[in-house]
Amino acid sequence: MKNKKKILLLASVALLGSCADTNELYDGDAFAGRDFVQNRYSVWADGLEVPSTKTTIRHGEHGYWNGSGKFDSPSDCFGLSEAKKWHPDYFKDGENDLTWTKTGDSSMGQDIVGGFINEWSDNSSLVGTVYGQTKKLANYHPGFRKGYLSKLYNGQVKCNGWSNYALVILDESGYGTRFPAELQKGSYFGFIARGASDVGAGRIISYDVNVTFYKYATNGVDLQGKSFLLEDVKLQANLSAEYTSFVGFSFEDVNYDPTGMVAMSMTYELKNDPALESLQAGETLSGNFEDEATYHTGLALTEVLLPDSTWN
Amino acid sequence: MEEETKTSKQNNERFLKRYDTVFSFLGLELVALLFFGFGGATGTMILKVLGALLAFLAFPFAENAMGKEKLKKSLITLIPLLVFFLLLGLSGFWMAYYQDSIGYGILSGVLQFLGLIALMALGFCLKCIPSLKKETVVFALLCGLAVYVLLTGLYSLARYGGFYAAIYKGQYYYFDGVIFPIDKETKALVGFQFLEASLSYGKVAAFLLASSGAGLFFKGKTKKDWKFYLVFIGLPLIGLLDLILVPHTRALLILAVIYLFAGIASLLYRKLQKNKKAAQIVTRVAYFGLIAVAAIGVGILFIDAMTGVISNANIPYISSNLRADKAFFGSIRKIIQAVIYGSSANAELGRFNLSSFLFGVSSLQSVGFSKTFEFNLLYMNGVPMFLLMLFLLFMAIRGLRSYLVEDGIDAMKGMMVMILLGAFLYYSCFSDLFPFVHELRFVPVLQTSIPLALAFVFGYTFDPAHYSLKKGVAHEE
Repeated sequence: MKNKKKILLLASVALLGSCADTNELYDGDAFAGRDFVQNRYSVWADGLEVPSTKTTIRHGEHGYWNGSGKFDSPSDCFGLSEAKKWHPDYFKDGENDLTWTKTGDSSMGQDIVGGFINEWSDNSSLVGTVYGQTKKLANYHPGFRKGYLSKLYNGQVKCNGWSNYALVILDESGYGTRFPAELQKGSYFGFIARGASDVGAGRIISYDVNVTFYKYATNGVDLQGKSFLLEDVKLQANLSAEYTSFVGFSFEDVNYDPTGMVAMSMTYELKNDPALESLQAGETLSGNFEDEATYHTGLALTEVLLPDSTWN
Repeated sequence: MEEETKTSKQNNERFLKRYDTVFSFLGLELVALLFFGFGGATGTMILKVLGALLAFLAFPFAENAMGKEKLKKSLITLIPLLVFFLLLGLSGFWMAYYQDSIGYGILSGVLQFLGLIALMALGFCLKCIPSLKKETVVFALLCGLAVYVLLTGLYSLARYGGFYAAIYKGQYYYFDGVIFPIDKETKALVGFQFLEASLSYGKVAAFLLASSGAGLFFKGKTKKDWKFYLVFIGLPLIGLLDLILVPHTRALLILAVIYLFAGIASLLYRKLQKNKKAAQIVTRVAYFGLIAVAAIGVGILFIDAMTGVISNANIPYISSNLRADKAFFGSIRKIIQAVIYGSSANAELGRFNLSSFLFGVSSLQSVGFSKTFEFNLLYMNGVPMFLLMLFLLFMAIRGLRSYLVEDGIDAMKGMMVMILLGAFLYYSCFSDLFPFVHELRFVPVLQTSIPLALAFVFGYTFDPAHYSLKKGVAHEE
């Protein structure tokens, strides 16, 4: 009887001390300040530094899609039209054709109901018409609604004037996160991003983006990774944060079964930045925010998608 | 004939005596559930209907205690209040709000009216049950509040930790990609789920519970045992502790004002008990002083809304607060302008809008509701209803004061009056019509359960003699 009382007391203390809602708090301008380099998000969840097998995917109909597929002008480099051309079924909700924004597949128009920075809006009216709001991860599991990375799961595919509050800025070291549940079923993966830099005017930057998915090994404790290297991903940088591109690939095309996925990470290597040509003598530009380079170029994520997925 | 009337009366009394316990239990259970907010909006709707039924069935108690003639006169006294409750749901704002379903809007308004009247009547009828002691009534009220406060307080403690609003002041969390300040929210039990809500909304029960403790200053001469104090100090302490563990500093400040007021008022009463003339003078000065302050305050706000004389005067703090749309006074200013002019375009042209002035703003594009229940009512119902509300508030202050001191002060009476005073002050400073943090849900104060429970308390304290205008300010003892 005494032991039972002790256990009950300990359980009560543990419960009262859990403080789950205060586990992930930030200062108001965390990752959204004036200093571009200080806005880098480089958090890696525990246990993700494991070896992984790598597959290279090239741009193409059975490889990865990349925005509009047009890269001559930064103002053309946005949206989802290439994915829509190769996989039209991904952009249907019943009979409805899902679009980039409320006004269609152009860069104009909003992909959210509207509202100021840091004001929650009910975007449920856009489900069934706007792609991001229909296919966002927050629709599939409530755990995706919480935390800093909920920015990547809320269906907001463009800046909409939210500036850094809409973006997760990465440098080459990338980030790694555990999902709040285990993936049971999924057909394709995508991310929506643009380039970001503290130098230079609007331009198209090339990245080699490495995405790794993690599942538990047979021992049920360790994680195993499977990496996909997307070579030469082209993203617009510094023209406008409204020009973001949908990049992704079908699991069938890369012969990968995502069942059991519990985590992912993303890193990149800066392949080519036209700003390098306009640097003055002695100036350097780097994709690594920790070095002493004069300028830096990063990747600004707005959304990570595993559409039509089920989670447990 | 006399014999028949006497027999009928005896039979009636026997009947009432048989069922007084049943009605006492059901009535108190209902009001405890209302204070608890059982079942959310649906539960409140059901409890309103049950309250109406109980009030109807308990009516014979009131009839038996007061007699038909006196009861009729008391109904006449209540006419302004009945008109007020009836017109609450009928205004330009509510017509616009329910424009897609006018029938539902009318039904909602009628149910709101019936609910408030029914709970008031129920409180009045239960007071007329001789076997039902005030201690039992207050105990039930406080228990309803305490259960809610304990549940939400413990859950908030588990999720946020103690003193989180101070420890994590200026810290934010992300939800749906939106950044939220952690120190401005708490957990509220809504229906059968916990939701993140503003501190204003989530801590109203704790505040009312804590306010009730101030009523103990009005302890009478009758000695009570330790169990009495354990319960009637312990329960308000739960509310106080809940506020401290946040800490909800602004609410604690208002609470301190209530306790200070109760302390001073009870001290004055005891000092002036034997000097009725002095007591009358003090009461009249305080009462009319309060009316004057309120009238001047409201007048200044209206004048400034029309002319900008104060907001443009660069008076430290006040002018800037009036100019900022989301500040306490700034939001009131915007509301007054919306009511007088109908829209900001009209305001710039100085074009008076009779419709919004009389019936409230009929636009769903909110200018941003204020933190004050009174001015939100001005926005939704117009100037005449606002003035009627002010009149009824001052009549209520008068009536409650009489209730408190009539036949000597009493801790239980004091606790009920302090709950009502606490509610008035809280809703005058912390009214929040969009209280939920992670959803946009419009929650008018009068459609929540606590005002219904407060209507019960008011009905319990109601005595038509205290509201007679013929008697002047102070009820002659």
